[in-house]
Amino acid sequence: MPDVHSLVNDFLIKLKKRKIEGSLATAKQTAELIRSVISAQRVPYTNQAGALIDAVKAVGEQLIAANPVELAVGNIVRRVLHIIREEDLSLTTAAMAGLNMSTVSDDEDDDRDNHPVLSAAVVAAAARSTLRPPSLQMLLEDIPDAAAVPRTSSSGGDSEEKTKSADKSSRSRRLKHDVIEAVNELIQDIGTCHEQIAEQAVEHIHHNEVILTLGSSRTVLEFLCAAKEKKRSFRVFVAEGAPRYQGHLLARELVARGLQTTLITDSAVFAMISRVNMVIVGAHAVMANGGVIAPVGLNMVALAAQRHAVPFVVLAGSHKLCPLYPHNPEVLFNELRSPSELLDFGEFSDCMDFGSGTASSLLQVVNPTFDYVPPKLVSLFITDTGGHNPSYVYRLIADYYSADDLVVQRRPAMGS
Amino acid sequence: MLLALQEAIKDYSTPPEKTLSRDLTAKISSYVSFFSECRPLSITMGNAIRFLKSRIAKLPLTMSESEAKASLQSDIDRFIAEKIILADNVIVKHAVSKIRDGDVLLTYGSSSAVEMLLLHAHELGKQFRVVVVDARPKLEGQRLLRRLVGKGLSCTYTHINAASYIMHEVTRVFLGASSVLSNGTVYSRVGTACVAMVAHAFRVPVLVCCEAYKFHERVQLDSICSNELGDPDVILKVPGREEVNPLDGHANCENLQPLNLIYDALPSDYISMIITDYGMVSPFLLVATNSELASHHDDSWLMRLLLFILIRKKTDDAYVFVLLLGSAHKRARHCARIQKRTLVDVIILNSPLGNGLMVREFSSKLYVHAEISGFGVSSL
Repeated sequence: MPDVHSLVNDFLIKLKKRKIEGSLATAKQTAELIRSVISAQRVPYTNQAGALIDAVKAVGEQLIAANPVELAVGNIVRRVLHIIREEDLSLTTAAMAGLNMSTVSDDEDDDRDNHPVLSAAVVAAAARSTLRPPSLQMLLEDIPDAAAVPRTSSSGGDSEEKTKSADKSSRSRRLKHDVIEAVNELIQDIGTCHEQIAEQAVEHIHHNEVILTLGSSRTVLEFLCAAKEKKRSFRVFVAEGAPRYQGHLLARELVARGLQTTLITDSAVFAMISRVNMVIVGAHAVMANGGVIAPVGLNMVALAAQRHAVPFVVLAGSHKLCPLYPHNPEVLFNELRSPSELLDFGEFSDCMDFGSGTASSLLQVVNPTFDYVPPKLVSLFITDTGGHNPSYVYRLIADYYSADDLVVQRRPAMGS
Repeated sequence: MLLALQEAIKDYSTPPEKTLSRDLTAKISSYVSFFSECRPLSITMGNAIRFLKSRIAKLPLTMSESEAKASLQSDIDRFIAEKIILADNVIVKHAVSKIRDGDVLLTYGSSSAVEMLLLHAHELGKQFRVVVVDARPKLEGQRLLRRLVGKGLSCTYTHINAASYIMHEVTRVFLGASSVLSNGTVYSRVGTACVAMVAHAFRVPVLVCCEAYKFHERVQLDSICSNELGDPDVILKVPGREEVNPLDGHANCENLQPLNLIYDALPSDYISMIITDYGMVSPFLLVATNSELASHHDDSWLMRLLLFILIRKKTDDAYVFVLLLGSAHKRARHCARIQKRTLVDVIILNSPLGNGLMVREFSSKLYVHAEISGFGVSSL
């Protein structure tokens, strides 16, 4: 499948060169790429899910390594892995339920004791766990179960292969078909997350409110416009968002749609925040602890909002939910951009190479891309599934990801 | 501005059948209103004008015109020398003691006092790094950066949004101020409050360098009630970045209002210490410190010396105390309230001509530790 390889390579180069901007575009393209990877993947009779998972993991590892800062890539890879596991599980349980219903019902009570032996019972238990809404306890139980699923399904498949090979082949096709279907759904979800978030705008924006935002985010734009369309009149303060000054773009869009817009400098955020009713911003990624990786400058805005008790609302599509916990996020999930955005090279060229003979130059320019906003500064997340507290994010993540996909790259790394 | 006024006084001649003091005051008032038309008066300018007017009013009527002019000019010179240049030197001396080897010092925008301090510390051979934080539209930090790098200091330059990124490595924040209000609020270049807030959140000490002539008795809670507006069109354009100027044609759009604040008010609880030419004080002390420190420009040298010695001694002993200067019935009550709340020792600083009545009034209302006047220290 050379076409898939070239697709993957193209995407890798794009990621490495930072040609793709914004987590939405990245998420969408990642999902599309993985869809083509899955459709090109030949599925063996046995352990189809395992093969698919391995294929997706192999590609996913490359993608994540290409741009570790763009967390949306990893999120989508994990989402797809989760989808494969779920589809496999539901198919297996359906088949098992049809085949040996009586065994399962007999062994249901003591399935914990016979864990390695009675594969069907384990699968059924796992299926139950997926059907029920996950709780913390279920999550903990889920880890051994889900890990056991590929193995058990394969062992189950082995034993029955000779007798049910025809049935198997149809199942394998069905699994791939289902997975692709589900990935399509995911792509659609990513595409429509703006509208779903914007639908909730009216619930959050009241008449004559003053809203502050920094930089530019499409989600924020749509959110504000949705409120405007519902005949809410309000005023927006837009901080320009150095060093990229995307606030100018947002301001232009808002003005074009007839919103009362005031453009302020980033430094005036603290001065203006006392007149603001609500801060609404977009995010780069939402971490599992409810912290936010956001465009640079938002930590400052969040602190100012906290001081003046202004709600700090983060809009984030579900593709931005990242199941990782941030450790030293200011450094590890950050990226430094070109200093030319801050200083004119021509003007400061003499200072820049001032110390060229020595080890380090006297002048350093720091231009980070992202900021980390700790969860205690966030009042509310609005995702496409509704509004959530920062402390609830881990539950959302349990909905979207399965626990053994959290570390995508570890297994191949240990193997090599 | 003071230099301009000095020139004006030199060129001034009293019209016949008018007394110098009245007419000159009126003249200066007209100059001042012209200034404030051109640009709203800053607090320091207000203080300086008040000083000048009080000098004019105190001129003896018998003095001849040329003598009066000479004395006024020398007064202005003295004001500049004492209150601005000497004050800066004193501040630098105080603040240098707060810089240790290996420090990473952050400063915002461009403050002359902070610049002097950094250069002085560098001359003393202290090893430290400077982080210059800057913001649009003025980009004053670039000029400061150029001067510092030119002098061989190792600098890091960044924009205000990255303040929370860089704050991890910073050990001290030095800020300038355009004025310190009597509730401890520091009124300064817009963005200063942001930087101080981030520093506070990261538990980095914030030191404000401010000469005492910048103190003012006004109070202010936010930055919006009283502020200066800069040219709004500056905000719409990002110079040198053609690719990010989407708002070029929108200058006259009805819905779009660019807002260019010049100052903001930095709440006192973000400040660890204010370094003035009278010494290093905590903002909580300043709340009570009478802003007449700034307006009593005719205090004798002795007074200032005493004050200085006292603050040094007391801050070293970690006492908290209230300074009082001049006389005001209301202030006595105000201070009594503060004292009740904070249990501070009160020391009355009196000018040599201060009347004993006032001291007694104070001492009846609050526990007065001592009185210091031009005649010396007397315990009460």
